[in-house]
Amino acid sequence: MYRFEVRIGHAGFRVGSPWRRPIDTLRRLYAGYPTPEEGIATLTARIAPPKPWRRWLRPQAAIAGDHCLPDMVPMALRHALLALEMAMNMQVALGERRYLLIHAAAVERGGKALILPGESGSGKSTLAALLGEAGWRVLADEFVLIDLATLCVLPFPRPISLKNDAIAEMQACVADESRFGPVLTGTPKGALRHLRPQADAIARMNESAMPALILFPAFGFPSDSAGVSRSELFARLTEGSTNYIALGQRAFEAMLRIVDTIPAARFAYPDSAAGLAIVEQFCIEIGL
Amino acid sequence: MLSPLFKTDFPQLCLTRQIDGLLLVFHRPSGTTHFLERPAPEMLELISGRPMTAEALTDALCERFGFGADAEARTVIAVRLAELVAVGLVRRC
Repeated sequence: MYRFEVRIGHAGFRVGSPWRRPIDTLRRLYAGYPTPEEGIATLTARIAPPKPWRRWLRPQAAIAGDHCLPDMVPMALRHALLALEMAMNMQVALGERRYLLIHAAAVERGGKALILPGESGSGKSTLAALLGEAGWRVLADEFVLIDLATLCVLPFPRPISLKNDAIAEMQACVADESRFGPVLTGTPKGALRHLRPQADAIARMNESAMPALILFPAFGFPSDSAGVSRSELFARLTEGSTNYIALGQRAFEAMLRIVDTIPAARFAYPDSAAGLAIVEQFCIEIGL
Repeated sequence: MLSPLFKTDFPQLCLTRQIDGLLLVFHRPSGTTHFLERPAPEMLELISGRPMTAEALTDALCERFGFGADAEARTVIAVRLAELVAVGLVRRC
């Protein structure tokens, strides 16, 4: 078993694979990340062949670890990096009990966090990646961790998962090729490539930020924006949280404080330039 | 056959908050969260601490809202009651 250990924010991961190449790829993607504190990884994620012969014969990688869902379809070995990333996601999505998880991306500027929740395809990852190259610090992609007592966003700066057209867009504005993972084609979401956040986001992964604004993006529509009511905000954030139910009353109370104190809006945008302009306009309006 | 009585642990075992005209309820025993709109909160209030049949609940609710307890009202209340039972906020006893 080949192994790789890495710390991302508060989480120490032990990642394993019976194949060497996926671990080497992961190690390159996570270049510059620290190792788990005191050498102790608290989460285990791994891939393994679903049947012994699948290690060599039309090899397939099944997702495994401390926490996993039944009946997950194994992937072709050429998508092993995606399988490893999904295995790591799974440990957080199903195992996290200290912090409230919100399905979103988040960036920070001046100590204040902008949270971008949204379904797959809404453009949240691309916007976070672009903002991360424009003076903002990437706090998270996919999972935003909220401290239940303070509501602070705890950084979890995983590499950002870019899909399809977003890959070329980010390649055009990130000169350092070493920050990109390999291009994975033919995945269930099309072409996919990971982008490691800027070194500053990794170096400051212990610095939390107070959420100041929640924006729901919707890519591919004419520019528009509207407020989000507190009830809708509560419903959408809880729908997108994998541990809201498990955290019980503490999560309910934290979510109430979020909807009571953090302004929220939705906006549609036809392209990234328009999306960034709308985000900046919102930020100006609330002094972020 | 006797009509079943319905009871609830609302509001004793719940946390509640009014948001945008809806009642947000966190039900401690089940750990579930619900958005309720009229007449569900009023139904829960009426059977809170005083279990009653669907018929008695319909009568009480219609009296509160100033409606006649006709067949349509009984059907609507029966459906709403079944929904509240399904989500665990109301139990048959």
